[in-house]
Amino acid sequence: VPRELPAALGLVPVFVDSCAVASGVAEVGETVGSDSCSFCRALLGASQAGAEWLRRLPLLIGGSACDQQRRLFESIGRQWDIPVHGFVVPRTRSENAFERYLCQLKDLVARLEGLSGTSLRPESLAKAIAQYRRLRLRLRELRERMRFSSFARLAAACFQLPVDVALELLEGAELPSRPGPPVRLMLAGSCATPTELEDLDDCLRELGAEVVADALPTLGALLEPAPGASCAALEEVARVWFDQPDPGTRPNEAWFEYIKSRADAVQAQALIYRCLRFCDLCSAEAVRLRETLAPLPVLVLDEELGAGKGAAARRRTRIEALLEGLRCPRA
Amino acid sequence: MPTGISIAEWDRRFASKCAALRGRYRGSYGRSEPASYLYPPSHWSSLGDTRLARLRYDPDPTSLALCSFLESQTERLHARARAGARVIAAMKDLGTVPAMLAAVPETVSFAADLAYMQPTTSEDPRFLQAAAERGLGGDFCDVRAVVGALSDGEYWPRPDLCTAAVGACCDDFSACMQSVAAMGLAVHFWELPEVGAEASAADAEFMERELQSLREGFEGSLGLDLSDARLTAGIREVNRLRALVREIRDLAYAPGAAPLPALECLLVEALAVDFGSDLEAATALLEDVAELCRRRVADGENALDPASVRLTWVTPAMDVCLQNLTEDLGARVAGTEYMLGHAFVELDESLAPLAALARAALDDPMIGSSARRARKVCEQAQRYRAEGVVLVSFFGASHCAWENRIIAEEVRDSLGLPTLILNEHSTGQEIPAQIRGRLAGFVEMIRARRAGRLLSAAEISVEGGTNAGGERSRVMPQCCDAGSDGASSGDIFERLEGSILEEISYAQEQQQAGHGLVGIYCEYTPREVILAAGAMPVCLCGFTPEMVEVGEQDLPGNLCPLIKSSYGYIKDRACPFFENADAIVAETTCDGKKKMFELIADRHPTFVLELTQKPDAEAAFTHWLSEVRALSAFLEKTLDVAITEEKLREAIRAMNRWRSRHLELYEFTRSDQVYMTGVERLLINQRIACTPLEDGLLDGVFAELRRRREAGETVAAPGAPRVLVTGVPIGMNVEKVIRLVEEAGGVVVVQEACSGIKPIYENVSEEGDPLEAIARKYFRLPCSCFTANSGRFELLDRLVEEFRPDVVLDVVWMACHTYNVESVLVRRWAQAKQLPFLKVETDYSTSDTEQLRTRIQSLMEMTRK
Repeated sequence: VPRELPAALGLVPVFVDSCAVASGVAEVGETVGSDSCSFCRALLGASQAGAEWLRRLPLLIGGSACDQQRRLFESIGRQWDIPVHGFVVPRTRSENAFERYLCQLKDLVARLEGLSGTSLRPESLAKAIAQYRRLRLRLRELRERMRFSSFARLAAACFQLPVDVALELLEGAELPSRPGPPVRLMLAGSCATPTELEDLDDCLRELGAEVVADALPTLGALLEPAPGASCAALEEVARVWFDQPDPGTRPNEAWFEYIKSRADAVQAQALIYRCLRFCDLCSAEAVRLRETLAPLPVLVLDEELGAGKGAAARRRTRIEALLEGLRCPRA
Repeated sequence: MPTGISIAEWDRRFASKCAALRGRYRGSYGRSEPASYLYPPSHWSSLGDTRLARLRYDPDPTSLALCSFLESQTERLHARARAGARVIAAMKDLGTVPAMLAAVPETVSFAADLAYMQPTTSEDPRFLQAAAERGLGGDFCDVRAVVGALSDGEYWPRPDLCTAAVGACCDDFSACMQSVAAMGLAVHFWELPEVGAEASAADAEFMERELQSLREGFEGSLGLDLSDARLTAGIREVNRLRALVREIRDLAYAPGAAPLPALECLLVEALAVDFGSDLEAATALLEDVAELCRRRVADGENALDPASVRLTWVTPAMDVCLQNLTEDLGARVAGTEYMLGHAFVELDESLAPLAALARAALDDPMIGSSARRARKVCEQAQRYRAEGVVLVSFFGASHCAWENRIIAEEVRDSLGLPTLILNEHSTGQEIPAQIRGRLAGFVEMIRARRAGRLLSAAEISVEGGTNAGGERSRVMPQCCDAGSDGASSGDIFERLEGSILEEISYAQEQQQAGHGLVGIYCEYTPREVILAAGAMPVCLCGFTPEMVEVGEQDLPGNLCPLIKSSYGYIKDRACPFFENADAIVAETTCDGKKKMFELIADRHPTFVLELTQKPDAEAAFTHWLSEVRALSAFLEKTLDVAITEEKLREAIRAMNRWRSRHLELYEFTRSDQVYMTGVERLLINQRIACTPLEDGLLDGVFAELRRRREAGETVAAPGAPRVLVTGVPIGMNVEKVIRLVEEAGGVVVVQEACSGIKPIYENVSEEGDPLEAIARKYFRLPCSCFTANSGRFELLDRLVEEFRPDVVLDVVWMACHTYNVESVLVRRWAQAKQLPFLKVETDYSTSDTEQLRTRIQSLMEMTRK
């Protein structure tokens, strides 16, 4: 869902995903089956347990890229009687699919216009597009000057704020440059909670490694849409968002190419491919991803994560083994 | 009723009933003349579909032809492919693509989705293994079998083109289709849009354009002619078949008559999806099936009892044995939502062909919200006047995990019907006893509901929440759950696995006759007093792992699982015994239990027996006696009865007989030759003691055990280590330690525990003041909550003498502090007796099973004689 649209109507889009907390998995109880992805369960659980602000939302925009998200938004809406504007981002990338996506965005605009009491004016949209573009560029600049988990927090916070406020904060920020990490890692796979990313980063910090890039739906993907400076209209911004690489597109070769080129560009030495159990769209691609990256000097660590905390020690052992592997020359 | 016949019976009947009909049931195999597909089920079973041997079939040859037609589909596909037809594998659309290609004779199409049943019918996991090798492992729905089925061109011919409908449908299958594409097969992806409550004109236009793109794909890559004229002709033919499917469903599912069993109905619906890859033969066959139904309805000939409990079934089970089971349990399918309802929507012949196909495709129940699918379920339930709704949940299928609760909620709210969510069991397994038990309980309770019984729809709606390896039971109360996977032999032990259902019925009948139902937890509760009050004592201890999780919503994690499971049942209102109880008797044994009772005390009149904990102090006994007297007064007041001395004496005699009878069972393990396993002994424990029902069950057990003894059928190999199990109470479902002992070659000859010999070892004196005699007997029960618990060691001494164990196994539930600490003393006692000793501290989960197995195997190895 392009955040530019609500912003152009004077609304503040709040990134609901960031309220997913691991404890939500326990809170969710039996509202959903245990064979569902723990991120969606965490988000639903958080909505049940304590995210008061979530329950007060005037509208939940459920633009979903997976089946579980689609049903998650429906469940949240049912539970708290929140109006949900749901739509499914098409999986195919034909022109017909794009038209469908565009129509859905237009329906969303109409809904948002009703909510804000204003009409979408081209100049407002152009301004919002430009502001988010600046925000993303600024975040990307800061990316290299911060630890991964700090950056994840910062990015999540920026996407919770009105874009002009976020820009004001970031554009005044000065951060010294840092030496590159001894081991450069890339992260990809399922949605992640901020807490989980912090835990991972803590572990990596102790082991002398750092995530320098990611392709997570809940982080890297937020920064990725790159409308050109001249982009100003709904159709154009829709195209930018529609063309985002995603493992759930069919066929999904573009996503593999994206990961490959990104790993190459940031000179990643290894990729941690973290999949949540029951995250079908990501889990299914682990084998192909490894095959795709085989020609590159990039080791791949597949992680399958559940909701439990017991995985931390195992994760550390596996990452240690990965780093050991990196110290050995490849055959 | 039901009147189905076995595979063997079909073999016997085939020559006389069907041989002459072989010419009638013919399909296109790519040769000039169609060939017959009619064979007995054993033919298909011998070719690999081994599960067919376990099914029961409608006895009419037409029904057999239905089964044969679907079984022969792969043969026809291969034959057509060899004859030059272009093979199209349609994925996820469930009806659209085969309808598009219906009048394109140079093609043959099939719905690859139906491969999901193959690993169950053939009981062969190779397709799933092939999928796992491609990264689609056990966390995926078993639809991943499609990847294996398409991988080598053996099961199905290699398709010239696969069509893959993606978008607003399940991700599991989307991932499978991507995997098929990655295997190098040509795949045309097309989009299913999400629709609202009703499909809009924009949805229809979008869908039409997608179908146009499909048409261009067929024409471009395969050089096919899919002109409007051809499509129209195909639609006309498809409509003939769809009308027949609709008519058969109406005849089969409507109240009043029951002309076709659920299994055959499922086959009819499956046929609507891809016509078994032969539209002409399928239509001819369905005409016969429709005629069979019409005739049976007219003649009043039913395949099932029409008065059976009527269930709308949501999502087809992979294991079709469930269809048989449903009918065995006295239910019938009345309406379905098998995710393919759009496959028998007749196509609008007044529209342009692609528009008609688009409209029908938009009726796909998977491409809207869960609430939309729920409405379709409600329509079915209303249309066919269902009394309950069963929802199957495939493990790993994302839509099931999310939508089943919503559907159940909608069904309950809008129709007031009870619902049951059944977790599909693992491929290749027998139907687990728990699924049987839950389904049986559901049927039973709907029957009770018909009779105006106590439970409301919301109360008897039950859900399941675990994976395929851990089917949960929330309808069953547990002193012992309905049993696990049935390691026992003999009909009586099979009956005991599901005897809870008989107990539920018994309790209902007795309550209707005016008898009270009193829930108890601990062996300290004197059943005699309850019996003397004319009531039934029912044990409510929980032995269901899945209820632990529910209990933990309120209770701390570091509490004994027995308490959490017991509480979980109550929290979830999943135990009909508790729900219908007139009173509850609790006791102050361990701290966890006594505090848990405070959480449930507001639900029923509750009496807490204060058990003093110094068994050797006479003052303690005096207090205990006053508690037993107070219990008697409580029951008199609560149940509005008088507990007379005479009734107490009568109850004492009855319970003494009961205990003696149970004690007599140990004759079959006390001797050198052992005729009863430890698991079987657990099965014999009933929730309601001292009933005619239990008497009858015990008769059966004794008969079986005597038969074994006379036949010399021992249950343990010569030299098998004899094991004495001590410690915490154990029930079915969490009997893993006992099962592991016996799987490792040992045999449990006696269990010193509340679930074993302890409570029956001593009788109540029939002399003196009856209440005092009762109190005396129960106060002598040696529990670890006593200090000091010397009685336990006295009992253990006697058991060693009587049962001559080779090894002692002390089982302790995690966080059961009293048994855990006392285990040190048990170890010392065992060392003094020079008996090998193993302490096992575990919980209700199965996560430590393999570690335990290793430890127990080592112990058995070391003690084997």
